[in-house]
Amino acid sequence: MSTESTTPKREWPPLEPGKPVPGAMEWLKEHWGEYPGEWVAVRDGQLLGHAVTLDELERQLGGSLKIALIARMV
Amino acid sequence: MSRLLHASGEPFATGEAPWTAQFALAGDRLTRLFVEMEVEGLSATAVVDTGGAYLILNPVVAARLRLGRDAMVHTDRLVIRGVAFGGTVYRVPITLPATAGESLTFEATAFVPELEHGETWPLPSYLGWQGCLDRIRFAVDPADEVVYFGAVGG
Repeated sequence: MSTESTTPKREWPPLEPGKPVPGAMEWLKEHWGEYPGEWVAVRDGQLLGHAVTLDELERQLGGSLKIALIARMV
Repeated sequence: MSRLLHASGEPFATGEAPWTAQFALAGDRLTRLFVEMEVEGLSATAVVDTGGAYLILNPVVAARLRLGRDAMVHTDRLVIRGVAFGGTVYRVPITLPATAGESLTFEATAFVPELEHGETWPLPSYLGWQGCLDRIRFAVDPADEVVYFGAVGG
């Protein structure tokens, strides 16, 4: 699995507490069938990363899962 | 935005958010209603399950949260999709983030299943009825794919 194309190109600031993750649900509606069995991280309508485990996804996001909405795909 | 009003004029709901119908497991015949939730600053998806109990928190996700012993309530055993799981029950604040109106934070009773060594959790998290959805006002609009929510007595 290549992670190069999904690794964030910039530092993502922490999410605003209590606010929806922008563009996340819209992305999930469009892409739910993709990355089966993997965890995805989504923000601003973009896929920030995807991995089989949350540990790997966390590494891709630079050490924190709290910068995006996470979901396990089917 | 359209919201039901009580006779007093008090709104039934104070916030709304989108939901999406997706399969929860590969091979499922029916889709489930997924919404966004936030627990301990972590944003994730969960299935609305009025036939279930508690907030069933994916144990892989729960492992990344700071669920301290002071939040523990007791241990319990639940049958989830035909499989019995032991686990720990916590009280945790969760937030339903609103795309319109106000987000809603409330205290839910969360069940975190304990996995055996090497066991995986294939299911999502679930917002069940007892100890979770029964603490808020909640309605679903299937036409516009929107959920409405508000505090009880708030």
